[in-house]
Amino acid sequence: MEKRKVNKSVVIGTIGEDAHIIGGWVLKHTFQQAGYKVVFLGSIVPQEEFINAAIESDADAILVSSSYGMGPIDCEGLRDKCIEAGLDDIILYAGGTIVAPLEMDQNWPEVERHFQEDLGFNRVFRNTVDAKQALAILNADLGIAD
Amino acid sequence: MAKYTIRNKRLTDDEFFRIRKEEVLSQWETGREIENLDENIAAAYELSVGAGRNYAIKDAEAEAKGIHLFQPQFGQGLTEFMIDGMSYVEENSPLLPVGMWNCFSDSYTRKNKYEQAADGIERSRKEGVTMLNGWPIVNHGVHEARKIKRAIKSPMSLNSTDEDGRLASEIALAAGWNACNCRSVTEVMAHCKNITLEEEIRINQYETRLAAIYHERGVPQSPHISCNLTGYDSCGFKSFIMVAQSLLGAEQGLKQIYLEFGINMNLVQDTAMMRVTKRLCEEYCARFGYTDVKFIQNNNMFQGAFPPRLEEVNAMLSLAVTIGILGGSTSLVLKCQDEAFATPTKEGMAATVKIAREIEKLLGDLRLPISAEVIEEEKILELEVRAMMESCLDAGEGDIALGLCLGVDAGWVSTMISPWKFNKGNVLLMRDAEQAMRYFDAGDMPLPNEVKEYHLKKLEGRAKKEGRPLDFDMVVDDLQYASKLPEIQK
Repeated sequence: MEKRKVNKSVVIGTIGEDAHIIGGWVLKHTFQQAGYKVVFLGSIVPQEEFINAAIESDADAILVSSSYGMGPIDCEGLRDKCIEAGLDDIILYAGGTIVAPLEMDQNWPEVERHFQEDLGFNRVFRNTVDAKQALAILNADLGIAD
Repeated sequence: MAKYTIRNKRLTDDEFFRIRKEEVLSQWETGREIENLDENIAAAYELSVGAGRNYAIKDAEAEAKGIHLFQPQFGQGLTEFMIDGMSYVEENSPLLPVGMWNCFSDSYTRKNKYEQAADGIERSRKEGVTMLNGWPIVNHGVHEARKIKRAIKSPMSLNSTDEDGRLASEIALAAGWNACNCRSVTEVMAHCKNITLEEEIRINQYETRLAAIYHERGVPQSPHISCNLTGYDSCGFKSFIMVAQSLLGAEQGLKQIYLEFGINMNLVQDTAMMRVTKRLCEEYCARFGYTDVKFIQNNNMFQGAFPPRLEEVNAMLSLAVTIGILGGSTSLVLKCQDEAFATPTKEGMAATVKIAREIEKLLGDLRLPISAEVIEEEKILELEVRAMMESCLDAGEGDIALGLCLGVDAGWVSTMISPWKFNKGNVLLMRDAEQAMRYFDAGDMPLPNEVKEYHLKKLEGRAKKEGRPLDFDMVVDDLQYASKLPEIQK
C-alpha cells in the first residue's frame, strides 16, 4: 500500500461529555505555532465529530484530550470507527487525566497496554506531558524534522 | 431585545408544577418516586432538620460562632462505595463535628445521559472499582440517596449541575441533602458547549425556586452561587457573575445563599474579591428590594491544574486553606491530594482534612489585616464589578436576566477559556509578580480605563523583573503556574 502523504494536519478535541478544554486549547496554539493545520473541536466532542473533521481536513492524527477520568469508556470504538471511515492508518493519541480510579493511574503500564492493544491508540499520555513534548513526539511519528 | 423573552421574574406555582411534570420528573424512571412534593419535604425535614444534620443551619451556625467547617468532596459510582468512603473520612480524620460534604455526580449524569451512567454503574460492579467520576444520583434514585444520608453524620450537598440539574436536585432535596445551585452563568461558562444562557437561566429558575419552596416550608436551604470557572479567570469577572446571579436567586425567593468562591490563590486579591462580592451582593439585592437575603462567605479551592506530586499538592492545599481562613470564609470546600490524577480517594480526602484542620489550629483567630493593599484591590474590583453590572442592567432596562444575555452577545460576559461556544474569549489573563491575576487584554469587557491601566501596570512589573516580554507564551506558561514541577538538580 502506498504510504499516505503527511499534511501536517491534526484534529484536536476533548472527548465524551468532558468539558475540560484547557489541554486542547494549549495543544491548539502549540501545533498552530509549529505550522500545523489544526481543526479544534473544543470540548464535549462525540467520536463521530472527530472522524468527520479528520476526513474533511485529511488529518494525520487525532489528538484526544480526556481529563475527567472516563477516558477508557469514551475512547472505546474510536479506532474501529476510523477504520470504517477509511482512516486506517490515522494516528490516535489520547492524553490527560485519563482514568478516574487512582489505583488504575498508578498502574500506568496497564493503561498504556489497554489503550494500545485493546483500543487501537498509538500512544496515551499522562497529564504530566507538556504540549511541546507532544509536538516533538508527533513530529517523530510522522517523520517530520523539528 | 426582542430576541430574548427571559426575564428575572419569579415562577408562579402553576408554571413551576407544569415544568415539574412535563420537563423534570419525566426525564428518568426514578422521577416517579418523588412525584409527591409534600412527602418529599416531610422526609427531607426528618432526615436533615430532625436529625440535626441540615446543611443551611450548619453553615449559618458556624458563621455566627466564627468557626470553620471543612467540606471534603466525594463521588463514586456505587452507593456502597459512597458510604464506605465517606464513613472512612468521618472516622479517620478530624472532620466531625464541624464538617459538611460536597458530593458530586458523574459527568454522564451532569449531561443527562442516564443510559451511559447506567452502563458505568454496571462496569463499576463488574470491575469492583468506580468507573464513573461521581455518584449517578438520578439512576440510583431517592431511596439510595436517603440510605447515604442516614449513614453519614455530616450535612450533605450535591454538586450536579451542568445544563440541567433539576431532576438530580429534586432527588437530592427529597433525600434531605442540600442541592440546587443558583449559577446559570457559571455553568454555561464552565461546563457547557451549546446551550444558550437564556435557556440555562430558565432551567435554573426552576431549580432555585425548588430550593425556595423547601425553605419556605421549613427545610432551610442554602443554594450555592459560585464562580468556579476554568481556573483562569479574573477576580473581577468572578465577582461580577456572583453579584448578577444573586439577583436571579433572590427573585426566586432564596433567603440564604452560600457564596462559593473558587480562588485564584493570591491572598490579597482573593480576600478583596470575597469581601467586595459579599458587599455588592447585599447592595444590589437591597437595590432591587430583596432585603432579607443572608449571604455566607465560603470558599472552594483553585480550579486550575494541580501539581502531580504529593509534596507540591500539599503545598497547594495548604495555601488554599490559609487563604480561606485568613480571608474570612466559614466553610471551606476541600480538593483532594489526588486532584491532579484522579477523583478523590477516601485516604486522600482524610489526609486533606487533617492538613486543613491543622492549619486552622495554627492560625487561630488570625485574619488578614485590611491593609492599604487590600483596600486598593477592593477599589479596583468594585469599579470593575459595578461597570459590568451597570452595563448589563442598562442593556436589560433594569432586568439582569435579559442584560446578561445581551452582555454575552456584546462580548462583555466573556472569559479567556471556556468550552461554551457563545464565549467570545477575547480576554487574556496573566499573573503579576505577586501571582495576582491580571488582564493582559480585557477583550470586549466594558471596563473603566483605570482598571485596565492598573492591571497592565502590575504586569509590567513582572515583565521587568523577569526580563521577558508580556506575550502569549506567558499566558500559556501561566496555565501551568502551579502544576509544572520544578526540575530537581541531582
